[in-house]
This record gives sequence, structure tokens and C-alpha cells, in this order.
Amino acid sequence: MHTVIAEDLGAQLFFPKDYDLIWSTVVLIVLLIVFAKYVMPKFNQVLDERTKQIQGQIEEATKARRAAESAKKEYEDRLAQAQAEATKIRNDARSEASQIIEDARTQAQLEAAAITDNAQKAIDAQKQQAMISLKKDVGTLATTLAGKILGTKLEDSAVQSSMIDSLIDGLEKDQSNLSHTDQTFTE
Amino acid sequence: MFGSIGLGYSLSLASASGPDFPTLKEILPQPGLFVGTPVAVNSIILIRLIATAFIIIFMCICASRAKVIPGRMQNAIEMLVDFIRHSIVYEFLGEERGKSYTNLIITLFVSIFLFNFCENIPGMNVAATTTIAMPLIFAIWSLINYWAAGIRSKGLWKFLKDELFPAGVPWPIYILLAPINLLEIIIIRPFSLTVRLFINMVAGYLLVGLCFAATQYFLVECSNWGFKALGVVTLAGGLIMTVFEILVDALQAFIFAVLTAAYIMLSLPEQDEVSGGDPEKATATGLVIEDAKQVMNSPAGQSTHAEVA
Repeated sequence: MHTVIAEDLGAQLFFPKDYDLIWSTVVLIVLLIVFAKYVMPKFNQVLDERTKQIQGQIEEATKARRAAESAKKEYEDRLAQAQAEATKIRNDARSEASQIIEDARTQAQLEAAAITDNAQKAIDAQKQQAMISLKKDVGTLATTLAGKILGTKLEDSAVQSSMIDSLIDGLEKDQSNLSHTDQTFTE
Repeated sequence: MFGSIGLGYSLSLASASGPDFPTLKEILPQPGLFVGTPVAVNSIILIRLIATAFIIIFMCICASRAKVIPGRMQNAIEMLVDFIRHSIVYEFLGEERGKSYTNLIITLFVSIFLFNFCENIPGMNVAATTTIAMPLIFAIWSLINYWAAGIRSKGLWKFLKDELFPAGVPWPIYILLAPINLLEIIIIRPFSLTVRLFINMVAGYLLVGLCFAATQYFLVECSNWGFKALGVVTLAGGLIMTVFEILVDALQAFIFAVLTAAYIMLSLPEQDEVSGGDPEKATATGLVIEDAKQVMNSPAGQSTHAEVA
């Protein structure tokens, strides 16, 4: 290859042909229009839509998570409340039960005391009655006996009654000693 | 590249005396259609038209099938679009100002990359950007955009004043600085964009062509076993260079897109005046500008094939 031709060609490289410039311009304009009017808007639209969807999904997920959290909290609150209530009921029942037992015991003790009291009273009353009838019978009997022993009738009622009284007093003394012994025995 | 292949075979039939190395003739093809009219078409323009049709049809099909739940192909395209949007456009211009330039930068990147990629497609074998007209038109479009960005945001005089008389320079320097800056924003920037892309593609074509022409000659046409061994080496070299060219195709498209974004950013008012100054962001943008300047000045940026060119 001749040097002169090579140099010539090398210089030619840097001088664009008119038709080449025209075609290059046409090509660039067509590419710019197609990209600006169709390709990029279409891709941007799809990208924006995707961004929107993802954003929506994230928001939805956040909302769902919040709802779940509040539901969980509510559930836990209710559980805690129920547990507290149960504890309270249990405690109440326990104290009520002990109250009832206490009441029953008191009642029973009172009743027992009353029964004992009544029995004591009845015994006392019967004793009293017995004493009175005994006093009467013993007086008559003693007078009769004394009269028979003495051989004489104690005519004078004054003497008779004073005698009976002193006799009964003596008896009563014995009696009180006796009842004291009774009590000690009962106890 | 039917022209060059045809030419190559006829030459090799005529004289098998040496390898049919690629020449600059193949990237200065004569028009074959509408000869003599302003819309004449040569082989590289034809490749360019086919690539354009492919880009349009492919992107339109992908766009029309785009769904909220993406398929594999849509995912790949969205990754690319997102990468350009966030790593180039928003990185330089910020999200708010960058929105109106996203389409421009993405169109530039995708077009340049796929035009470049034609050099790796069997039957085409030459990039659609291998005549200077196409890179030049891309660069002029970049120039129009950074001028428009400056004029629209500041007005013509304020824009020129900011560009030609940067603040913080003693006034005698302006005598030197103003013409240089004017030259830069009118000629140097688009010229560097054009030449960087164009020469990289020319060099790529020559390199890969060199390897495979040598392989054809040594491995197929020569009967000497030593030459055949050499042919195996050049074949491996051709494969490696092809892979390297795919990298260069993407890199050049990336550099073009990044520099266009950077030029637009330099035309716009300072970020601080607009958004009230986010120091961290401002620093990040500053670093990116430094990076862009390094890319611009680095050998890889200037010409990936400096040694050949």
C-alpha cells in the first residue's frame, strides 16, 4: 500500500460525507423520538406502578401488623383481667368459706352453751323443786318421827315450825355442801 | 461488512503472497445505494440503519410487553436503565434536575453501545459508529443539550460569563482563559467526544481484523507448520481482542454518557444555589467531577487503542 494513499485515506476519515451526516442525524432523531415518546414513558409507567404497588403492600402489611399487635395486646389485657378476676373470686370464696366455718363454729358453741345452760337451769329447777318438796315432806316426816320418838305430839305450832326451820337450816347447810360437791363432780 | 469481505476475498485470490490485513479503505466505503444523492447509503450506513431498526423494534417490543412483575428480559433492561439513571444521571445532576435528562442519556448510552457492538456481529464486523459522522452527530447533540441547559437555567449572558470568566481568578488571566474556555465549550468538548469514540472504533476494527486476517493467512493459506502454530496464536489473540472490544464498546458508550451528563451539570447553576446545599451531596458530586475529568484525561478515556492509533 502506498504511503501517500494511506495518508490520504487517514485524512479522509476525519471529513464526514454529507449523506453520512444526514443519515446519522436521521438515525439519532428517530432513536430520540422513539425513546422519549414510547420506550421510556412505558418503562417509567411500569416502574411507577410497581413502586406504587410495593408501597401499597408495605402499608397494608404495616396496617395488618398494627392490627395484630393491638389484638394481641387486647387479648393479653383480657387474659390478665380474667386472671385477676379469678384470683379475686378464689380469694373471696376462701375468705367466705372460712367465714362460714367460723360462723358455724360460733353458732355451734352458742347452741352448745345454751343447751348446757338450759340443762343446768332445768337441773337447778328440779333440784329446787325437789328441795321444796323434800323440805315439806322431811318436815312432816321429821315431826312425825320426832313425835313418835319423843312420844308426844308437838301441839304448839310455833314450836313446831321453829323446830322445822332449824332442822331445815341444818339440812340446807348439808345440802349446800352436797351441791358444792355436786358441782365439782360435774366439772 | 459485505464490501470489505468481497474486496478481501478478491484480493486474497489475486495474490496469496501475504495476509489480507484490514485497511482504512473498508471504513471509507463507497455508497452502493442512491449513489450521488444526499441520501446515499454505503455499507456502514446500512449497518447503522439495520442496528437502528433493531434497537427500535427490540426496545418497543420490550416496552410494550413491560409488566409490573418483570420477566427475565425486562429485568435486564430495567437493570440497565436503572444503572444509567442512578449511577450517571442522578449522580451528576441530582434526582430533581436529572429527571428531564434521563431519556437523553439513556438513548445515548443504548444507541452508542449497540452501534459499537455491531463490530462483534459476524456479517457486520464493523461498528455503526466507525464513520466520523455518527459520533459527530452524537457529540453535536450533547453540545446542543449542555448549551440549552446553561441558557435555559441561567440565560445566555450569565451562562457565557460563568463559563468564560470563572470566579476566583485574577483578571489578567481572563485574557488567556476566556478564549480557551470558549474554544472548549464550542469545539474541544464535542471534538474530543467525537474523536474518542470514533478512533476507538477504528482501532477496534483494525485490531480484530489484523488478528483474524493473520489467522486466515497463517492457519489456512500457509502449509508450513510453524506458520500454522503462529496462526493458532493469532486466532487466540483475535478471540481475546473480540472480548476486549465488547468491553471497549460498553466503556465508550459509558464514557460518552457520563461526559454528556457532566457537561450538562457544568452548564447548570451550582447545586448549592438550587437546593440550599447538601454538603455531603456536594462533595460526592465534586468527587464524581474529578472522576469524570480523570476518565477524560486517562489513556483509557482518550483512546483505548493509543498504541495502535
